[in-house]
Amino acid sequence: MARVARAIGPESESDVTGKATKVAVIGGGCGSMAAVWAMSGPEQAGQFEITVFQEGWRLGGKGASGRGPSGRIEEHGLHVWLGFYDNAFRMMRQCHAELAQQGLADLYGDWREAWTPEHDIALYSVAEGGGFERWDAHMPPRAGLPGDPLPPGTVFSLPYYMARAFELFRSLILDTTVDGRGLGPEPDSQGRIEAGAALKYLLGLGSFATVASLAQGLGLAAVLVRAPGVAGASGLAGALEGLCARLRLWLEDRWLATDRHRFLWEVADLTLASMVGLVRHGVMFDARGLDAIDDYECRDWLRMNGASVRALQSPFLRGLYDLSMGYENGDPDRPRLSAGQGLRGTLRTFFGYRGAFMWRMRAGMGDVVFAPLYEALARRGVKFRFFHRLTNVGLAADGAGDAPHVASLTFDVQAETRSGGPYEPFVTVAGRPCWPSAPDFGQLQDGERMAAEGWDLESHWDRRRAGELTLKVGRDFDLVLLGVGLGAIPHVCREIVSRDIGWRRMTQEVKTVASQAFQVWLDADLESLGWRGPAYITGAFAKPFDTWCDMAHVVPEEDWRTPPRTSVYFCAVLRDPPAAPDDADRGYPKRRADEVRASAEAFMEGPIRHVWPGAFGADGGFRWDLLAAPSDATSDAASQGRARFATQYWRANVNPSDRYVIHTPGSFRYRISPLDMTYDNLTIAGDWTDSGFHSGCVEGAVMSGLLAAHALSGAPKLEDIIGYDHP
Amino acid sequence: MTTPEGAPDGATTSRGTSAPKARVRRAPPDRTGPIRAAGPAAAPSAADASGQAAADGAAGSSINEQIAQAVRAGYDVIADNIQQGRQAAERFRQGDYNFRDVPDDVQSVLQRLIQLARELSTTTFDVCDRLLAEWRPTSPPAPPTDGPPPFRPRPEPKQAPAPTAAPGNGAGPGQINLAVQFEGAPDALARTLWLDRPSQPAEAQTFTSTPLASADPTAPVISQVVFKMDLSQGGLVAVVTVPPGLPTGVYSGLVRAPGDGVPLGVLAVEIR
Repeated sequence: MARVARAIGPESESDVTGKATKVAVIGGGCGSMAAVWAMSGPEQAGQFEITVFQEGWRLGGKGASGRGPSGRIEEHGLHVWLGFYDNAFRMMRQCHAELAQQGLADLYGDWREAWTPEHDIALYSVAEGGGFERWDAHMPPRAGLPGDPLPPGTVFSLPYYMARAFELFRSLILDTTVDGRGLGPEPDSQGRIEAGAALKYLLGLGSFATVASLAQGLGLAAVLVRAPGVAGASGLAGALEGLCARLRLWLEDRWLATDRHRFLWEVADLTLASMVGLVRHGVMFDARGLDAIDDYECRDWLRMNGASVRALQSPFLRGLYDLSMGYENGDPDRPRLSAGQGLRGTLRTFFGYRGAFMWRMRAGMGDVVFAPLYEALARRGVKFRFFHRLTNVGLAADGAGDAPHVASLTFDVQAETRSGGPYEPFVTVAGRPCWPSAPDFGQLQDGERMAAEGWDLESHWDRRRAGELTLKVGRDFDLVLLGVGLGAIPHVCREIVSRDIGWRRMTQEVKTVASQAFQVWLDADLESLGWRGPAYITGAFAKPFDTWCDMAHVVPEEDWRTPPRTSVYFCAVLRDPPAAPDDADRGYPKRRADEVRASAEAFMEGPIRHVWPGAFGADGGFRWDLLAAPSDATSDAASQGRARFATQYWRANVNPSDRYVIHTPGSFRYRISPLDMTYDNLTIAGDWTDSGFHSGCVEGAVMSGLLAAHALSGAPKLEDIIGYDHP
Repeated sequence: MTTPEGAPDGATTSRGTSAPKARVRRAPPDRTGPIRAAGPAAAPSAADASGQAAADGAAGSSINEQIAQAVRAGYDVIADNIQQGRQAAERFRQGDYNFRDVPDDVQSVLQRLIQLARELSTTTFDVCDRLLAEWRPTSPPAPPTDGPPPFRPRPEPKQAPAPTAAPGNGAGPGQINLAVQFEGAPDALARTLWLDRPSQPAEAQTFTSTPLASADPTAPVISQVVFKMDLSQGGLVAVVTVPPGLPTGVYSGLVRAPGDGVPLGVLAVEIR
């Protein structure tokens, strides 16, 4: 792992003339970077002089990653790019193309090298008798690629989604497996499929498929005819409801019998309830779209519309909550997501993807997303100021006859470079520019002391600094793009929050959760440990680490002397303490991280047995010697037993800005749009804003960034933000 | 889209137009939220309401006709399908299945069945399309006051496990949980928590139990046991009517499903 000096591109013409509009961007997460990307492009002709102020040593926000010992990738959590992330993919495709044009293709490659398609997921349900039952779903490839222009005339509409629901249903029926057995007929011991058995099977399957679909369609019709304005429909409604009731019973008979496909009933049940609910609540005709049902809790709403208890406990639904970290205060016993956004996310996830259902990144998110963005933006003339932690957004005094606006920005300058020049943030691992997991103290004034004293430059609770900087409107900046995480807003926008009820309610009502993650590197591949693969990501598994992913594909990007066979990433919510820690409690992150480590070790000794039975020895204990220790003497590679876990990686994402944003019922109305004009030189970006897609994800953040860019520059057009105009 | 302070409304800056020391302001966007309207037709406005009754009558009949067609088609398809499935299953059971009686290409069978579903779906959407223009939203139902069930599937069993099953485990593969409701004996206790699943689809109501008898051959029996499905209770429910004055003790009987030669298990209850 070697430090690299990046070639800074020529400064823009506007820097020379000094006439450009100065934009101060706070934070380097997905939202901010999307805005900066849009505002620094050639079509803006250097109109903006952009400076990004970043706490600590790296960009990425909640998506930041770093390289640790042996060049291993260390993430905040588990990041999966879904196939409907059109805005995010469009940005990254442009970025890779631009870098290639500048002769950097050897470093960053084509975007198709950075992302590869994935089609298989696995979910677990708790078996009736204890333990787990696994089922896999293969999501078939679809036309196009994420980020492609939408076909002319494309409109996101609920009728479109309803039609697609039938396609999904067929996909599930044809391609889903349970406990490793396909839905196709079972071959005999010699691998042959007997024709009579095949036909018997398919008859049964076709019968199921047809009736389930009919239940869906007729259930919808039953609701439709209850609509006022249709004369004489009551008799038909009764007949249809009776028909649906019988269909449900018919399907329950199938569920009751020895039928390995009976879980499909749960999917059919949820789909039916969703379709019934969309019509019953008039969503298809409501100008608010799915926001019309966003005051309901998702599972409450499904139950209101007929979903069975069993369907409400299905792995499909639990996977949705797990992936959205939809547990208030991080409490697994308090699942809480809003119905409207839940359905919007589900519809876009299952019916809006192009190319593949999911796309996995070649390496860490920092390496694949934020390194090329940094490189390209720096070459466009965007300035980056690392080690600048925002402490206050100062408003202009009232009564001056001016509209409310930001008058000052105050930062803690956490560190300054020895040279006085820009901080060079990258290291080279396996020939690629990467972000390190720790700052290069060697570049910093008093760096040795900072390192010796253990300064944590990303900790909210470590306020040590080298100095302070205050920027003034009109002199140092004209416009402000605030892209910190929502959890940081009460700390850095005290003036705004105290005087503005909208902002205050936003910080109170838009909820965030802490999260936890750990990664292990194994000297055995998962298949040899008993995992049946080939699923990319596994959800709805045991608490506390319900979601995990085999990341064997990133190991070649690391820098091991003897590469491990695989690495596996785990993540989940982390329960909040009863009372928030004091700002002066510098030891708080360490204590939470210690909790995560203890939970991770217990997890390896406990639930992992269900999925990797081969990881347990004859004595019944976890084989800790499977853990691959870094080969660069940064940890005790000779440690044995449970102590060997110390050589792995874990973290508690408890920093306010690192907290994950969730969509609880009714919270949508408290989100503030980047287009909001309350402060006429300020806009906001991040997955916590009213981006149109209210989910904590890359796409929501990028959409928000594009809205922020529109607010400041008029571009892109709102109609060009894919999925913004959406039910 | 930025405006120097003091500039005329709507004027926007281009690079270099902001005057020295003039504060730059954002220009208001054309709109501040997404267009959420979800369907091909907007909800009728209040002004349309006066003419709605006549329109209802005129349009309703044609829509009802379409719906009636959909219903008839649905009944036909479902009835055919169920009937075919039953016949096929019966023939397999009897061993007189002749492969030449059905299409050779099993894949085509599957495709035909799916096509049936699609055709009916198309009909349904046709109905939807017609209704969209006439729809007037109603007040949605109130959300339930109690929360949805937790993700954990069910509480731990409170009753003692049945003697035929491994202690401490719930229903295993191929088994289904059984809840027992008692009528006439509030203190009775279920000693059976699960049964084998039937080998083929069957209605819970068709399950039967032999009379539940005690070890004392002279004691009366429990002859009224009926079964039903209730997913809120985990699946299968046996309703046991205990005659008045029944002596205390354990009573048991064999549970069968139609078509299954092997009993699904022993239903045992304790009268206390």
